[in-house]
Amino acid sequence: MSTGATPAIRCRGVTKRFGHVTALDQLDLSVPEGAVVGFLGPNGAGKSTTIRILLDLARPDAGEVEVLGHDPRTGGPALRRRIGYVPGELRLDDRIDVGETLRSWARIRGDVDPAYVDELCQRLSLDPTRATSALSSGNRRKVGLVGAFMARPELLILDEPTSGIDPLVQIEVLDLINEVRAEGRTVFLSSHSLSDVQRVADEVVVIRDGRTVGGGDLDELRRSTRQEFVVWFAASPPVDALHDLPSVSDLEIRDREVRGTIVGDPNPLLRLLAEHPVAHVVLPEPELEEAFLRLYGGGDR
Amino acid sequence: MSAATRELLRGAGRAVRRSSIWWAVAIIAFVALNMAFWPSLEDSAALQSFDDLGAILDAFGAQNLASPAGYLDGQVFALMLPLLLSGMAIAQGSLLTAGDERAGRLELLHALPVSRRSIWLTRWSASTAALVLVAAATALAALLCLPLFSFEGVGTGRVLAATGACALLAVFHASVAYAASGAGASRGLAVGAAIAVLLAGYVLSYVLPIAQSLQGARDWSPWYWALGEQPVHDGISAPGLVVLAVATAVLVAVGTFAVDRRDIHSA
Repeated sequence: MSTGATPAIRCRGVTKRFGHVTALDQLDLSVPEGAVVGFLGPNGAGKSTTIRILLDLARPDAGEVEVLGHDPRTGGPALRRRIGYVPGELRLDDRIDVGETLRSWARIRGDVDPAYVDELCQRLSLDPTRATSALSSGNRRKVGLVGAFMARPELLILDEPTSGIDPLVQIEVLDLINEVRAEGRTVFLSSHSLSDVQRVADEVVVIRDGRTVGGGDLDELRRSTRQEFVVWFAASPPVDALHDLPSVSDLEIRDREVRGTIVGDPNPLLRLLAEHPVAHVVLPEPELEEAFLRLYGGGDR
Repeated sequence: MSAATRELLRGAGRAVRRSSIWWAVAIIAFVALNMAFWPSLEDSAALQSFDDLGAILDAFGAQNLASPAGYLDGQVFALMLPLLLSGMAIAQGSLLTAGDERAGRLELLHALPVSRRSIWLTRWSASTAALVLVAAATALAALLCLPLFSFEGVGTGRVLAATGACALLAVFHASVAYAASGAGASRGLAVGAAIAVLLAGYVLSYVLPIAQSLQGARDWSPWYWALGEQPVHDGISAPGLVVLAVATAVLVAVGTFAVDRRDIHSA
């Protein structure tokens, strides 16, 4: 949840063209300080271009960009010292091993605690003695993650941070992100998959064809999400009462089995179920992906 | 120098260390081998008759082949050493800049707290330093070969100056590639631009002046600024070197200025 008044990242009307292709089209974006914000969108939506602009790797054709209160174009090394970054496509120098790669980044940053680097390597199961040339894409990403977290920067910009990483280490990465949030630092997390983002983010921004198409508080989004349910009653279901529930729709009743969807407050349904003998209930976690599809009008994601 | 700059230099130097050793071995072997043949050729009538070819040999920077200094110019310093050193400088300089950028290896470096200018200038410096070290080793080898293979009357200073001029010519051509890389060219394009300038300079300096009426063409050639007609036989002209050094500085400034004003290519 946002804890500061000043946004850590603010983009207004940012446009970026590559020849005839418009990668970003009047993009607006705001990331509150101290929050974990998921940056979602299908592949090719403009997520990496946005991130590269935030780091001054690319320059916008129009619009205003502010990162930690500074224009990335003029903020220079002093601004980038406050940022940790994992690129979507991480290419490492194959001539040196993992440990030397990390030490080289630490020497360039100059404000890194070697003990914390060791701890990060341990937590992410990254062997610093391994040759970078022999690393899998997941392990390369871990090197990038250690590099981004090592200096405990105020802002972490992570482009697809868990892509290719095994599930146990993914959990560790999400734990690290939660720790960053607990320390009041900001995380801007890009992903094309919702599953990671919904486990860690306070807010989301959804981008499509280079434009922000929506976003907001993840809890609110969850509340507005359609949630399917199936209930098997021990006796005849209370058909009339079910039809009267304001948040329930799409009811299908076959004998003692009732299927339907809830949008919004689930409590009236739960209270009704408590009053009747129920044999079995299936109430899966609402899929935010479905919410995005519905809210932002995309059936072709 | 800041710790970050030292680290950037170290990283760039590491990237060209191994290939520099191979370039040094190849160039030194080429120079030593050519010099080793002098004792068996100096009295041969063949070299004297070569001198009668006059203008044709001019096109290869080879005049007075029958004199020790002329032989060194014709076989090493007027053509082949500048070509070899330029080849090395262009290959390594373009690898560290456009090559590494297009391969995505500069992406993370540019997101670290260092300026683009320092990243690119340290890369130019590392490739130039490697070239200077190889040129110095070559000069040393040539100096050792002078007495060994009886190059009588050839001064140490002349050989040192000629090697230095060849090295500066190489750095100039690498800087053409650097300027192109800085402006956003791919490695292939940057190398192509540098080789085009290299060949154009050769034509201006050695080919066109075969026609008497086109002798003035060489005044526009970086080769002529660096080496004159015969660098060991005639010596090096300091004003020419100054012009070349200024042109090199301008190219480095253009490349560094240009990279600061564009997007960094991603992989």
